[in-house]
Amino acid sequence: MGRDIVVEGLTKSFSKGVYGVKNLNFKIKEGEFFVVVGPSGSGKTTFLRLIAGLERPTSGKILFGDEDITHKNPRERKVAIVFQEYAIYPHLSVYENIAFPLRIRKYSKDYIDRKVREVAKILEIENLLFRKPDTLSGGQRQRVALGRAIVKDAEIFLFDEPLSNLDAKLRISMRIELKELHKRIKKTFIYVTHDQSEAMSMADTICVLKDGEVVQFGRPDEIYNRPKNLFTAKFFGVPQMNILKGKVKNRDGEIYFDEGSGSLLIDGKFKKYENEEILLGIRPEHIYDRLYTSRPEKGTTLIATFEMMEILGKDFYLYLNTGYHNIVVRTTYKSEIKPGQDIMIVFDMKKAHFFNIKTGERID
Amino acid sequence: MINILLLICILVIIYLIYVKGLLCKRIREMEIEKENLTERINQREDEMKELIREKNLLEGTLKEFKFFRKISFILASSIEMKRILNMIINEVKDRFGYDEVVIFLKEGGRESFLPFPENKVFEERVVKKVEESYNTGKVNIDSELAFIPLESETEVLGVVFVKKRGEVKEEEIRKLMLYTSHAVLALKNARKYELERNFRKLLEEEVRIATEKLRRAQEELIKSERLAAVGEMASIVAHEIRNPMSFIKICIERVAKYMKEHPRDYKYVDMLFEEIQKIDRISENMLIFAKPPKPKIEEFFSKEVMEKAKLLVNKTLRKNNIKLKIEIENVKVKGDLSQLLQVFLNLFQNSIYFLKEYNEEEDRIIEIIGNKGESFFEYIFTDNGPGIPDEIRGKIFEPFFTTKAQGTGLGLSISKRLLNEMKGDILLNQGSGKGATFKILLPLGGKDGC
Repeated sequence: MGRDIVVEGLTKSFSKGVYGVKNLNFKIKEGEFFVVVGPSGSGKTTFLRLIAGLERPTSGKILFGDEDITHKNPRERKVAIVFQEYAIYPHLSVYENIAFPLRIRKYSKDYIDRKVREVAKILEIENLLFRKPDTLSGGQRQRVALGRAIVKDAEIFLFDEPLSNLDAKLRISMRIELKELHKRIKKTFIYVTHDQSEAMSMADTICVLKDGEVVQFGRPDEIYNRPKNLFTAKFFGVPQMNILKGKVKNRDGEIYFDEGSGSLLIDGKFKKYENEEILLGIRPEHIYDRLYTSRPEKGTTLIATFEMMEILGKDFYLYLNTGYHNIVVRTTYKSEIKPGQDIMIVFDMKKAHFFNIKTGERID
Repeated sequence: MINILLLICILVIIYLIYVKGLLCKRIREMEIEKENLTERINQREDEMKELIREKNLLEGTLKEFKFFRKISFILASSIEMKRILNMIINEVKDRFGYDEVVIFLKEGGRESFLPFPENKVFEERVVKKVEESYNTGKVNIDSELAFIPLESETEVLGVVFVKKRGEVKEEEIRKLMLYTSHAVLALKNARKYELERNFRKLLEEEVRIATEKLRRAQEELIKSERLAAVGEMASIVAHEIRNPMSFIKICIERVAKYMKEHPRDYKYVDMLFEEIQKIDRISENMLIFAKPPKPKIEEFFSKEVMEKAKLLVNKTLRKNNIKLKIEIENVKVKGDLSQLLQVFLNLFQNSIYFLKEYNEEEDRIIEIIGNKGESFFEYIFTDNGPGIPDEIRGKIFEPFFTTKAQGTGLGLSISKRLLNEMKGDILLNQGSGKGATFKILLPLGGKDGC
């Protein structure tokens, strides 16, 4: 079973009725890049602090392999934390900053030197070792902070939104670096973020938290392609998934989703919702401009009025309105379309998701 | 003096400076005002521009709306394929200023496209693009040419091809796409209508042929039946005629003898006439049966026939002490009055015969009630005679069936046939208790008739 981390009924309540996290049950496999994602106040930092040992759970257990570490001190847990703030000493050189955790553990000079250089090589900051932090860029400082964490030979690395202070470009390159680092050192990474795109691009497994509870748990592709509920559906993906409200209609045995301005043919299994309202979710990249598609299948087209266009490099977001819903379409075709003009759009119905209008749960 | 002059000068200068100051102030004020005004003018101009832009937008929308309304109207106003195609082409040309608009149709199963307008030759690249658009459903814009698939959600009808001097714009094509999606519905309807019309024609023709065949077969059947009946009749006639004839023979012999000795005794001569009349009637009935006369259908009032019948039977009824009750709603009916009269006379004859034969003199009643039904007028003819025994109920309308000693057995069968020819009928009513009851049905006339 290796050194998997298992949390069982993990609960932390701050005062009566106020929960940090509530009854978490899952397993983080050894060597996995595990991302906990959720909006602010969802309990992700509380979870990280519980794993680190900075908080004590109200109830539940944390197992590390066969070992119950629920009540162990942070020092005994073999965890290293990289915080949002870099937490490096400005008066020490990069070398000393990285060596610091080893020095306080009183390791031999040779060992420390070997270790620091090893880490510097991994992080590709060998040439910066004798510079002071204030002469470094944000990315380099972040790497130094990482170096301080990995030099400790920890088994679990905890990251608390480490990239949120960086600018957008750097953030994306740091994501790749972190992923590379994870591959190189092959340790368990637990990474907390509110940024869904970070979760999507880095994680082996994602745990979506909301109000201290697990909303969905799984591989990034599972979460993106089969969101279990409206919350996950809307949380992942930019622009957000289009959500349309409509009634299920039966026309001569064929089942349609009546959007208001038009109808979309849906699977016969939705017959049980006949004459009921449900929600249809479809991602902007799964709606196409009819002008540029091949012949659409039956019951996949709607007519919508074009409102505006947002240009994002090679992608274009078309903001449309059907008279009943606002719809965003992501396309790579630049159109000379004018506001107020009607266009035909084609839905890739195989990629559509359906949700219960009251509970928000996925329906199949 | 100089001092005074100097003082005056100084005063004048001071005054001038003061005036200048005032003027400068005023100028500044005016400049500010001017700026304000300019700003307001600019504001107004901006507002104007905005309004003009909005007006243009609205005008554009209105134009669009009018175009679509016109399209919807013309598309809804016709169901003829060619007319619709023409309308579509003309409207699109008009609206977007295209030099050429061609609709390529491909009907189910057909190998090649059928261009409309017809009799045109196209370059190979055009034909290729049409085919491509048809097969993939893709819109194809090639600078001055464009190809738009003409399709509905369920089927592909063809491709619309447009040509223009100058570049075909995306905006136009988007509008055209929406427009063709409307036009497809009209074309589909037209096609359905054409198919249905052809099918209906085919069906009507088939029904006509089948009816004709049936009519002929029926005629044949009737003819052969009639022939068989005539054969049967011949033997009956022979039999029926032989008796009166032998009697006539004897009578004639006796008359001849008596007439010599008692020239005034004409009794046998009367009898002779009576028997001859009988032969006449038989032969006449046989003739009618063999070839029923075509009814002359006209409208008359339901009471009319009874008034005529009453005149003819009154004497006989009185002689035999038969009471007649008539209660007939007077409405217009359709039929042949004289043939209907014959039917009633037949019924009277039968009733009189049986009443005379079986009923006491004081208990002889014939009752006729007439009421308007839903689509027929119903005469109910009832007597209080012996009625018709159950075992022969099914046979009474068969030719030559009779229970009267002197009957020909043709009366009721002829009646039925005559009424059927008038689209009416005669039925034997399930009598309750004594007597015979017949129901005669005749089509209604006037407003109620069909």
